[in-house]
Amino acid sequence: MTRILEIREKIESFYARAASYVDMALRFVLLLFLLFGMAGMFGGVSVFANGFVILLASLLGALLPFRALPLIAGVFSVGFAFTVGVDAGLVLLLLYMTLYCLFLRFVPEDSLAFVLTPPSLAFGLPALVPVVAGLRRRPSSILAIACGSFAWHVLKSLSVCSAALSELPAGDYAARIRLFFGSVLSDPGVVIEILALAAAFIVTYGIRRTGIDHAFMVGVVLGSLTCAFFIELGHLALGQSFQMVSSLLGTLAVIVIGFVLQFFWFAPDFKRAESFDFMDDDFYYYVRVVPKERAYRRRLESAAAFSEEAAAGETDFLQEAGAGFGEQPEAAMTTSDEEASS
Amino acid sequence: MNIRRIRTMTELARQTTGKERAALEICRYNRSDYIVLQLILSFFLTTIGFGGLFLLLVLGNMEAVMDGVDVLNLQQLGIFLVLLYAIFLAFYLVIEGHLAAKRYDQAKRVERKYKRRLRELSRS
Repeated sequence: MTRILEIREKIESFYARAASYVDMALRFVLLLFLLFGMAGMFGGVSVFANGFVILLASLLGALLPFRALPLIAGVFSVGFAFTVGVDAGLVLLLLYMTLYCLFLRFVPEDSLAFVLTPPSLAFGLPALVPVVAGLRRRPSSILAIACGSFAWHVLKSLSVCSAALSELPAGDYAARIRLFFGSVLSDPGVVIEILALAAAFIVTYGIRRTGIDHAFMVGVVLGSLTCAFFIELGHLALGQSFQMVSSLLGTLAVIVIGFVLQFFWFAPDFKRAESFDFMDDDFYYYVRVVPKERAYRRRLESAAAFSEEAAAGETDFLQEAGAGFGEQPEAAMTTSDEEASS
Repeated sequence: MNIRRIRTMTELARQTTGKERAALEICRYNRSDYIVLQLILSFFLTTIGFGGLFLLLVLGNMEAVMDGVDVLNLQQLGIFLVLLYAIFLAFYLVIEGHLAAKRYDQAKRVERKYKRRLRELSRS
């Protein structure tokens, strides 16, 4: 465990030194992955499926901020839709414009959630983005996740129906649009999935905000299970077959990823948590202090520094704050001394 | 070198990038002017969004619409759409007004911090 903590601290210090380069590399890899994924979905030999063009676009996206990623991904997806048909491209463009005007303009900071939801759905990890967003973001992120989910279903419908669309006459717009877009609008599974993602987010966010011990881990597990539960419930309601194995595997993968992210973002050591209460002229203070998990070597160094300060006669802040109305300050100090020297 | 002055100048420079810069831009307006500007922008975007949503729903159900257009009372449909648009717009304008006011108040807090650091800098 100590070795893992030391590795984490090395990663954190490396990121602190090279954050801009790491972010650029992440944007490049993410765009490359997204654009090649789209090229794989739609196939064909269009300019948008050209590896060199994708590489150039990914390099451009690496230089721009994260908010430019949905714009680049959107341009490519509309381009791929135009290769299927002019009507498909126009409908997708209209869809993106409508989603932006009605929803996405309120959540510009959640552009990454909008971009990452389609690939997470494609890989059978529907709970990934809502659970991760529930750990870090605000309730408004549900808008970006829902828009991403709807956009994914339209793109999937377009790629699945591209062969059928090529057989329909080009002028029969009503039939063509009904085939790839009307089917999405009339599919209750889309609504159920969006509700399941929203439920996963709400559960994770709600548990995170309670402040209970291990709230993040409990939120990750329950959020993932909630999403899987509602999706399977939807399959039952629609008379579709259960996909228990893939659903369970996806849930496990999301839980593992969530734990890894939680380890980097928020790693309190609840075993060494302490509670204090004291008051001044204006307020009563109920303070719960939860130290961060640190590598053992640094813990020894901080304990040694604390002992030196105590020996040099530094006063303790508890004594300065005055007597509390709960535990005695001396009892609390004794507890922290024992913890530091252990 | 005056370390305190360097520290204050660094904090000020940090506040003129990113979110803090956006906040200082917002504070160039009066509160009411900023909210009205955001409402006007929201009016246009909501109108475009409503039009887009209506078009998408029609396109997705085009065959049903074309089958039923003969029996539709266009006047009633027009009145219904206008009422729906008015309710839709009112809903979005209320949300936008609330968010714009909140954004302005947050920007004002950032500006106060910035001015306090400017005063510290002039004193040091």
